[in-house]
Amino acid sequence: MSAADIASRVRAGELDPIVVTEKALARFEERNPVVHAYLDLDREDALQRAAAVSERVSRGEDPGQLAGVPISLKDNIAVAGATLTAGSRILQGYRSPYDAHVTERLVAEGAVLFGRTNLDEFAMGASTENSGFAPSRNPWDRKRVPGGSSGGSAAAVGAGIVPVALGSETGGSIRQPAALCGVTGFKPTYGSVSRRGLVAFGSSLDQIGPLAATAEDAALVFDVITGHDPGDATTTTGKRPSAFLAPTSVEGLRIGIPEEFLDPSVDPHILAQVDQATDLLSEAGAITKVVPAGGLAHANLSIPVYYLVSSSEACSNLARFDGMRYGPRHDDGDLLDAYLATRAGHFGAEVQRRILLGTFALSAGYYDAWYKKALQVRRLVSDEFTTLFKEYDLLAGPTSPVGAFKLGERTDDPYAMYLCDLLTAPACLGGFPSVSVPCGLARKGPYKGLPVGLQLVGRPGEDHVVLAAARAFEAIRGEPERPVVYSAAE
Amino acid sequence: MSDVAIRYEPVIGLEVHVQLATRTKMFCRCEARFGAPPNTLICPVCSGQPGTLPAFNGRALDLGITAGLALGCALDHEVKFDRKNYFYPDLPKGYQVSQFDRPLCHDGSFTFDRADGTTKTVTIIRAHLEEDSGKIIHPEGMELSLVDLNRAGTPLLEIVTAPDLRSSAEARDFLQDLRQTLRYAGVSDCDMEKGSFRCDVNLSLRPVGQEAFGTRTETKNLNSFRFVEQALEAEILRQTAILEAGDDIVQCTLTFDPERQVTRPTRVKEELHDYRYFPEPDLPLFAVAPERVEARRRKMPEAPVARQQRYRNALGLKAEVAEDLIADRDISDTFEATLACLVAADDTEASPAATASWVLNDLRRIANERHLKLTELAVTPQRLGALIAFVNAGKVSRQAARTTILDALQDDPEATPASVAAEHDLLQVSDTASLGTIIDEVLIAEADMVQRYRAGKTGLLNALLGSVMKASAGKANPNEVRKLLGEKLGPPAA
Ligand SMILES: [Zn+2]
Repeated sequence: MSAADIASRVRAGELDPIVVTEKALARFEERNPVVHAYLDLDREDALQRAAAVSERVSRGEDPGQLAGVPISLKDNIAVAGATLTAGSRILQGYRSPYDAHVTERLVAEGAVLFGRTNLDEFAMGASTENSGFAPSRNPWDRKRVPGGSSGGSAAAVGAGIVPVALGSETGGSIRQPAALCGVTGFKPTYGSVSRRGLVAFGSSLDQIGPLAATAEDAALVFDVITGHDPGDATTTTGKRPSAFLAPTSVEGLRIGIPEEFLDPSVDPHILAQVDQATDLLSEAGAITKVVPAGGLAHANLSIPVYYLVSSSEACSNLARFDGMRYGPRHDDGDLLDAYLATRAGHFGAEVQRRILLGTFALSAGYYDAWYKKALQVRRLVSDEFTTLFKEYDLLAGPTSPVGAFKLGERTDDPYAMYLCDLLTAPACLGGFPSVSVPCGLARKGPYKGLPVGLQLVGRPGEDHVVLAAARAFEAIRGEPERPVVYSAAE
Repeated sequence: MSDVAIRYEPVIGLEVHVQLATRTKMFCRCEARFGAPPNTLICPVCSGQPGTLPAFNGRALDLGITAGLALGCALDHEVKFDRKNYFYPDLPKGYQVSQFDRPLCHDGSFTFDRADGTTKTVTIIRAHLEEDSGKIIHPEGMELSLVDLNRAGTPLLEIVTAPDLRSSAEARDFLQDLRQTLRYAGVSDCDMEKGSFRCDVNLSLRPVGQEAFGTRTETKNLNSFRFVEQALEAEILRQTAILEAGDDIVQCTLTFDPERQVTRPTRVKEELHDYRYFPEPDLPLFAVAPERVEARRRKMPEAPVARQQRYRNALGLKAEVAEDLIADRDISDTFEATLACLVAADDTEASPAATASWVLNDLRRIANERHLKLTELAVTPQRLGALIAFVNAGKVSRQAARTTILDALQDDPEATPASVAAEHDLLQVSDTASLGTIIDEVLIAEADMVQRYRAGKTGLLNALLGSVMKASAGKANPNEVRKLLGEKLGPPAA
């Protein structure tokens, strides 16, 4: 059942949130052993939260827009009293003393917080194989990755355990796993959702967003979590049009398909699915047009720029994990020994690689050549998008150059893993809203029978336009394919 | 060593950390207060919990603007924060939010009084906002260190001067005037004991007459004027000895040992410090609106130097009194408010000198006895003004007012000079009829003295006055008595 259905039936008093949660718990027991989506789930806590919503209904109060909807949170989003490992051993045993802004918003609207989902350590990765604990599995094929870093959230939704989960994205960490698991993933405009309570990775890029079985549910959750937060100075002020107010027709919508998104490195069978999807949009009245090469001339630099900027910010953001105030600590020897042993002993290899990269890029004498230069190219990439947005309402293309790959396939080659962000990183660099919606399964090739994602990118602040287009596409496309584990459901 | 001062000239620059007088911390709403039990004024933000973000305290900006105006600085039109990255257990986030390439205030100057009565102007290179760190405590006899984060996130202003100072005494005089100015401006309490005014000194020596600067050293964390002066003297000796031995000064950071009166290099290896500054991504540029600066400018209190001059020239106070008054802004403000009350009440007898004496002597006595700040007394400027007016009107003697009544006013916030005077029977007799009766009785009783007075012993007037006062049990108004006595005795024989 979709989140929208659950909420409307709970609000009408036709459905007991406790029953909804019990069913979700049953699906968790059945399917989590298959997909390993969760790092932690407090069953009692989930049932208590459901009971609280139930009481609100019986008192005659409006239980909220997400009444009784079980929602899973990536384990880098703070919930008071819950784990907050960020997928890292350095935060093993840590419990957050406070709620993230999005957590407050969800609870206020009657959502039932349901478990902590797996991720690549500190959200650094594209497969959950960098999780400090264990990788999650793709609901379509256990031997394959669910994508990452929000792979646990994507797998939980893709396996039908919960209708919606929250993830976070820095370079593609919501949209890429959504594409690989066959669900909808939305990365909002930078500044439209508060980051307060999100364990920071690349502060100027990080954004929280929903992963959902339907675009409608993604829009429903986005409407709840968006808004200005005085506790996050980077959130924008001003009115935010509801994701349900924009017309859900694509009639007359100008959609550009940049040549650069049709990069030869993208799997041809993925391109074929995306091509079919844009044809569907044209048939429904959208004005689609391929943007000739050169429109996004600097997009090919997105990967190095993204890694320089995000790693520089990360080396500073991760400095607080020193074992002094929380987390495990080695304190043999002097202070320097304690720092070295604690951090080298508990950060994984990928995290250490990025801390080193960021530390180098910010070092005296290198700052101008690396970090500052990266910011200049970031500006260029962003400006190119802005120019195209004068002509097009949306830009479309594949979400990921590859489908769900096999576990271990890319772990020995960090750069091959980094290339997963090729098509998603530009929207993050510019802070643009972007969605990935399922557009069928690859027919041939290494990803045959695995889901493909269509990516739509919009103007900053036009989250509602992007989500409305996704809902329109969903209507044209019809019910998406679901994996076996999902259909076993209801 | 007597020729040392002749051969080398000290070149001194200062870095002063001033804790801004905000109620809450710079990026969270924890109280910024000294002296609370360890780790009781902390929250997820200032203790560096994962996922927390800074929310800028606008009051810190306002105080930074005021400081910039007081130091004659140009102000940036935006506040830009940067991260200064380094590891230390008292730094919860592993970085300090500070300002690197764009300080809020820059290119100012500050003029101070030297001990010899002349003035000197020092260039203020920059003054920037930053957050304070926590404190490390080493409990005695224990093999561990403890961290107290109460201070972490408290707003600071770091003021950096050009190397314009030429002696330790000059450095001290500069700091004293700077501290007084910042206190007057309400920027900081500048309480050195609480660490809200801390100083680092840069020193180099150069042969007298040489223009180029020598290699400098930095002595950190001096928390009293005396230590600043002593540390500079000690470092001048150390550097002189090195130069005279023909060696080179090595640039380094030092600490001052007040017990042995020596400076020593710290063990930290300077070359390891690369702070990897970069723009703080959690805090976008924050506009400093011109209206905001103007509002602060309008609220700027008069500078202490200007105030002192006004006291001497317009109010006719003696130099020592004027200096005493401005030494502490609370005293000066109380004096002004009291005088304003008297002027508003059209008290023609009110004198600035007498009012100053009331504040400096009597009010301060009460404050000291009760261990209260002047501003915490129940005797407000309004009530003190009323009391002074009561004395000026001849209702009570000054003696009775400064002791019994002043104390009673402090004890009972409801009491008035009149109610206390009535209760303690302190009202002076001023009406001519009653006084006349008493005087007549005295003149009869002291007929002998009256005769000698009239014979030319005019000095006896005071003795007669004393007798009248005694006969009235001290309640007669001495001025009235003197007048009436004069009338009744008539002019003495020539
Ligand atoms: Zn705090």
